Amino acid sequence: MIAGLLVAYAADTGASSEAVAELIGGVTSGYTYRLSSPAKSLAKNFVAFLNTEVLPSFDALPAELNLMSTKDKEKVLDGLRKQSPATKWLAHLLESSTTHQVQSALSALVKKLAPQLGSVVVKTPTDLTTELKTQVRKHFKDDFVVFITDTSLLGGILVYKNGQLIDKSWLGKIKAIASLTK
Amino acid sequence: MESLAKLGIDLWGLVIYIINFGLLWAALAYFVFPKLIKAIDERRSQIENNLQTAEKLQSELEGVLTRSQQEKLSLEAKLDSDREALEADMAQAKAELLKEAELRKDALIQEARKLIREEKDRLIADTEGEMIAMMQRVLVKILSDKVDPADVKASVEQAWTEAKQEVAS
Repeated sequence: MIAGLLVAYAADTGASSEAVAELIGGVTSGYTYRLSSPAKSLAKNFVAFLNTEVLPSFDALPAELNLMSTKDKEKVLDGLRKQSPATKWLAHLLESSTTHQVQSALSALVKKLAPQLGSVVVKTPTDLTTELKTQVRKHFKDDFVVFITDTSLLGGILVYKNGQLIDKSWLGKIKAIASLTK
Repeated sequence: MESLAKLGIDLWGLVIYIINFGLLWAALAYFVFPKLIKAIDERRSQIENNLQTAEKLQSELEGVLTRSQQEKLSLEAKLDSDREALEADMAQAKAELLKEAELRKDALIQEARKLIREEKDRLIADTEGEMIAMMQRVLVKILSDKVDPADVKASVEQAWTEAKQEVAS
């Protein structure tokens, strides 16, 4: 279903159907490194579009979207549908999936389309504000950022970036203090 | 003669007595006295011999006594020397035993102190571990239940400010 975003983007930008078909085939089979130039170009532009257009819209969604009533959720998604064909498809995905599931699917898609992109996971005890998410994405502009809420962190933030761990969480500090006394 | 008669002494009787006495003396001197003298001489000689033997024996006895005394003194001196040597050996053995006992006592005390210290350290470590685990649980409980959500959000923003300086974009 997530490939629908790609189709919507291609339709919106007027990309060739051959390139779209090749790219979807590559994504499905996992062989995206043997794509033709138009397909590669489409993939690159799509990832850039995701970073610049889709993800900010996704980040702007209310944190409690999954807990909203159907009426309120529909109202939010209606706003999303009006932004672009791609966000319309995103709204369609969010009708039947949670934000976490959509984020995971987007991350998997980006990994296939642009394996060279770095991966960043940001864990926080509460949902981040849209402004802070934007700041984080701006800071990691060359990486695909995934936000995860983990209440066990208690406070602070925890960042994984390509194997590097920056633990600024309260839980990490408690564990660090405990390990110092051993 | 008459005067002797007046005194009641018969001259002839006296003469006869004297003659008898002379005869008796002569008989004795001839038969008895030589044997008697010989016996006396023999006896004297025997006594002298006996005296000489006694003196010799006394001299030998004195020599024996002297040697015995010297041996006694020598033995006493040897005994004293042996006793002193034994006492010295005993004193040395006692000192060595005391030293060994002292060393053993010190070793036992050191070992006991080491064991006590190890046990103390272990107990402290166990207690510290338990206290740290308990403090960790209490902290997590307090932070998860009692902290204002606004403080948590503020901590996230603060932590992001610190984290972005550490992690390369």
